[in-house]
Amino acid sequence: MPEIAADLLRAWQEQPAARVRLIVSVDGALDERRAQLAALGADVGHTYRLTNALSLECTGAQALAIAAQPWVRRISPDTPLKALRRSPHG
Amino acid sequence: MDSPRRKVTSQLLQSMSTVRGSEELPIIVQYVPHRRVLRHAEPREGLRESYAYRLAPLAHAHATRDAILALEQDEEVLRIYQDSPVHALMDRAPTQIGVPYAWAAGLTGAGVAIALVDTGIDPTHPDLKERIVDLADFTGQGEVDGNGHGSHCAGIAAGTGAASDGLYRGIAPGAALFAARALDAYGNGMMSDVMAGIDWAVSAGVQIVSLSLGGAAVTSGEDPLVELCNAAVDAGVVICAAAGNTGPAPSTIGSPGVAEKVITVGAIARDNTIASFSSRGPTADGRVKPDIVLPGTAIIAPRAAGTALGTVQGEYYTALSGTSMACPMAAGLCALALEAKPSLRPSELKDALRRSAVDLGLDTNTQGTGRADTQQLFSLLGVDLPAEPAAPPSTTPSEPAQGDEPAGEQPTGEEPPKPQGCLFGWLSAFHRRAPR
Repeated sequence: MPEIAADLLRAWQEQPAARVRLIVSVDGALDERRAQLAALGADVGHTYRLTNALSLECTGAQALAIAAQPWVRRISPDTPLKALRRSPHG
Repeated sequence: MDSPRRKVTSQLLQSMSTVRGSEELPIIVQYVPHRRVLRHAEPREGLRESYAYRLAPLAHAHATRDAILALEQDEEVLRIYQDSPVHALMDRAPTQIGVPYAWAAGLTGAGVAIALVDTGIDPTHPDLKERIVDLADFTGQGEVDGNGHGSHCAGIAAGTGAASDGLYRGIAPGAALFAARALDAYGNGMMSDVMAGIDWAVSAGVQIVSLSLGGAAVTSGEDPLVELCNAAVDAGVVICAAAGNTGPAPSTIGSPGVAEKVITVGAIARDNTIASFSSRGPTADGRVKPDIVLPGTAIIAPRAAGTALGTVQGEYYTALSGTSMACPMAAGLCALALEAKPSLRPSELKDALRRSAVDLGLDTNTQGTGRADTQQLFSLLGVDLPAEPAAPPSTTPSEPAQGDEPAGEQPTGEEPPKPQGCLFGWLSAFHRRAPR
């Protein structure tokens, strides 16, 4: 089983139809993994050569299927970031 | 832009349209040179001269709209500016960390490429357009900066100051700029797009990536962005990351600022006090952060066309605060160091920056090792810098290039740095691409 936070797994199980954005670290060639993830129903976005990972969007049920693949090392949520200028209101 | 026939600057003209009757505006009047001999203005209705400067034919006054219009007809008056609040200008912030000593040695960051992963960049801005080598968009909304944050940060790192006669030049005005847009027009984005921007920049061969952005740090282990940043450093790229603006509470450094191998940058004010908003360490696993602090309050730098972020300072500049501003300043300083010592590894440069910082006497989880210091950094690197810094901007207002107000110190009229040769012929190969 790849490294996945327990609350993430629970959310997929409880809401299998909900769309989620994830970053998936994999073993093996990125092009091949990209095709395999797409075949599992994921909408694959970026590939990251530096860490051998991909970003994707899929349903909770598809995420569970992806997590079952032996070449998946880790699955993390894609999270929001923001520019760090200070708000004029503090 | 001013009409060539008007002596009143565009900013003052705009303010004049908002006042009525006896309402006064603070102004600075520039007289013809023979008024260098101290002489107060002739008494005029609606004009209260408060101070005549001894070193230049200038006078500070308060004047009504009608008095300003009358003053404009005076043959001895060359220019009338609006007096403005003084900020930590980009002509002061470099001085605060000793950058003019590196400039005096001819260092400008030439041959070094800095990537900013941010809200994009204004490719038409006079301070930026000659420095931009490549743009990429990871938002699906185009590379151009619709927010202003990315252009401001880019100008701090490597702006030429062309629109201000060099006054608001960046730390490394000879460095090449790569800009990856990963944040939208509101300054928000997703980790996946930021990671793509970093991956793109590293593939493009930049030596430095500046990340004036952040999000919540995970409480255990690494998130993918932290892992990617550490991998980029292992690949030989210096990563500067803003500490965050959620201080002064402890353990408020976000991701990617918590990444072990990045240079995490906190913010100080003009008087070397820590900015209260600057995020504090330690990280969730107990490591000390930030690594160093640099100026990050009320920094004036490029304003992207069509944006009004921050406190606007005329057509081409705006003032912003945040660790976002301190971060590209560190990136620019890294570019100067890499120009002088191209073989430096990221870990060596980070170590040198930390060891050469000036201890401000604060907790290490507040200041890191202290305020970055150019002279001590180069001394540690074995690079001799001149004993005298590059000449600071004059205190005499010269004719502002774009009709802007003389807020604080003024340009020397010296030529802004010209584009210089850089690795891989980047500047001549400037093109846009949309990798998505």
